[in-house]
Amino acid sequence: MTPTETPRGGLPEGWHAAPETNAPERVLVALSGGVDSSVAAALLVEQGHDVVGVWMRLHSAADQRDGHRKSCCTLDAADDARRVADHLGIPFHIQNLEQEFADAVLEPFVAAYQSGETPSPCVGCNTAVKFGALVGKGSLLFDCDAVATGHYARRAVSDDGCAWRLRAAVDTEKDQTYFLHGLNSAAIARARFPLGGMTKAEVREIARTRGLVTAEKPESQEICFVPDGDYRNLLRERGIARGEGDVVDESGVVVGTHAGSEGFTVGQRRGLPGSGVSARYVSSVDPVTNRITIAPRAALDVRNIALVEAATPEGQIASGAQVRGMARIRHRGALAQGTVTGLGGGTASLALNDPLWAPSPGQTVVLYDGETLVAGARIARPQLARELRGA
Amino acid sequence: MTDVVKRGAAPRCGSLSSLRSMTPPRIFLDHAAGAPTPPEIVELMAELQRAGIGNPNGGHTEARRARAVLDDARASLAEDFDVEPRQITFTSTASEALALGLNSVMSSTRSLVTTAGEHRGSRALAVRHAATGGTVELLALDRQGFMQERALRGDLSGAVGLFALASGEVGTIQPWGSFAAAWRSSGGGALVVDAVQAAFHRRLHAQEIGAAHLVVGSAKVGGPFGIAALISGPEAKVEPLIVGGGQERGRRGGTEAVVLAAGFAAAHRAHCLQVDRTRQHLAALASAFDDALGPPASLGLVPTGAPFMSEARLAGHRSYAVDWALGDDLVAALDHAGIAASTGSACISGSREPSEALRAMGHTEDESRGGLRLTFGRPTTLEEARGAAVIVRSVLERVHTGVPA
Repeated sequence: MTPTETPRGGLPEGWHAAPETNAPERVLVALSGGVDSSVAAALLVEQGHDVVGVWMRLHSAADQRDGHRKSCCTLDAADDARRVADHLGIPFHIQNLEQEFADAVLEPFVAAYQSGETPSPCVGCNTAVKFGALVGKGSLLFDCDAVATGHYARRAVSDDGCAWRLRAAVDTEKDQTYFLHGLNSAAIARARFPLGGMTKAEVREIARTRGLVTAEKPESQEICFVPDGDYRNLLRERGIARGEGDVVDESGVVVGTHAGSEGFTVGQRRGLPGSGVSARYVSSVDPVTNRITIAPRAALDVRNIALVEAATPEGQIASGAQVRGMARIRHRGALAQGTVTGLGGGTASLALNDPLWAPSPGQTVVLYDGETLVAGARIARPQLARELRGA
Repeated sequence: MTDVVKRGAAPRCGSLSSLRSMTPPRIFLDHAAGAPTPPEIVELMAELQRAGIGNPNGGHTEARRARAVLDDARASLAEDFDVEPRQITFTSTASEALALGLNSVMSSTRSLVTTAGEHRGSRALAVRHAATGGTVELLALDRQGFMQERALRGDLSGAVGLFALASGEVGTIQPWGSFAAAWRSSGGGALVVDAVQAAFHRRLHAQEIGAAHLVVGSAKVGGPFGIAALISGPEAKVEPLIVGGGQERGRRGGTEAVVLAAGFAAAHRAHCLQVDRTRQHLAALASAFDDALGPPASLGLVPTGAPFMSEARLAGHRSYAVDWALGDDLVAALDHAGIAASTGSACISGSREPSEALRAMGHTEDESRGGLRLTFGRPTTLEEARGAAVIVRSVLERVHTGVPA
């Protein structure tokens, strides 16, 4: 496996690294029951902060046990979080954010598949739940100034101290700024990422030396609200099951059938009929006709990508405004030099110097200037992309 | 905070001294969930444990010593409740005793009458009864949580009743005498009665309650957790849920928790001896709290259950609902400010399920998610009650003003 490319090149002019540790303050730490947030909490306690541990109850999967200990959102995870808090001698509370999660994550997740997109649920969860609703609750209920998580990310602050950006983590493989791009400057100012300067191996070692019960827990990989790992079951429950449909090639010739277009995403190869001489990938998904188009790998290289919800940490990218940087269209994916140009109403176009492969509508695009994340957006649906190109 | 090092030799993290300095003094206002055990009861149990009191079932001297302690405990409780020792079956919890009582009366009928205001242990039994094909009728509650006698139909046909004498959630004490009379004249059958909260409020004479099975707990009166009792009518048969070595006259298998039983009996006796004085003390605490808190409406609080100074309310029990926050959130915020409070309705951690009792009493769905209960206890001082009111006021004001309209 090739190592993940890292946004590098230091900090842009006018910016400096935010200190990794702050003066003692009251911090709410979101404990998931995993090793990362456990260590984040332990470090904050050791740094002398007044730490309040909170586990978020986000959905009904929280009523289930999790024998595999892979999810952050089951009763077992809550138990682990509680044990860590107890071990650290910090208060522990369960916060119910089911409504906020349903509005910001679950419903958009289902709606995205309904419209043929591939959602990024973690982005919505970070933006609206962890660094949205939880921040609000933290200040309201516990008088906390800041919210910490076990994310691998760092922060940068403008020299005048007024603006904040995310900065890529030291551990290239773990950097999570991609999923955090929705945080605006004010949210970043209140966020604390104690693990941003560490590698995963160092974090595990800290957990071991501190005797944290979560030290050896496996990484959570599944979508937390899809406990069985198959999101199609969730979609079926919501009445989204399009059934069998055509698989066509670029010229529209039917080359086979698929079992339901909601199970496919751009760039996917698994589940496609037959295996010709040259490999084919999904190049588009049409939810209306339930038709999937496939193409050879090279046909999915793209230099222009239409965007929605395009924003910098300071706000929406205005019409005509331009942001340059290294673009990335999937977590740990390749980086390519590009320019985002605002087209009004949060829409924008991304022009790339070198192509990126298989941008999937609904997924996230981020742009880095050096190590700092300067813009983020969602990839537009093909229909909207055509309109934007026509505009 | 203990300095016990958990999980091997790993040290605790951080500077505990700095944390301690930031920790506000605690005021415990969740006595309805379990009162602190008085030191003399703790000492009694420790003494018995040290003396090697163990399994009371055996043919040797040591077993007989344990048996004697258990017999004494049973006899003491029997005297407190005015029953014969053989009418008392020790269980591990009040929930187990409720299940055992219900199990003992459901052989003759499949029809159960209860209310939505019962303790979760009873509600769960009713839900299971319905799920296994039985019929469950929920008696209406009025706005203050009183059962509506007039809702009793004239043809109960021997249905079993499952009711609490008083609500731990909203503090309402049922007018039991008149209700029980109406129950009998309507053809109601055996009654399984939850007396856990009521037994703390006043001394109970089991005979007068007229229940087939009465459930009492230990922790509410300052005894240890892990023990409760089913007090059965003189003629009532007990159908065991746990079959075992014939313990408890074959009504509940498994070795008896002798030391806990002794602690339970001693705590209950101590409580009985001062129950009237305790009630007055609690009333004074609650009154001082009310005065220091000011009008509940000014804090966005809606009082729940019977009127606060009414005789039909558990002493030292204050319950409210808010429609602008989750009860769990208020409990967490108060905890952070040093007050141990409760929502009143124990449920799955962090669940948004509204309280069934509050819903049944006509509170809105939002109010039913926003229950807050503060219950004073014997160890609470007037200063603590007044101090708690100041803290509750400041926390609620902060949270209430911060909630987006």
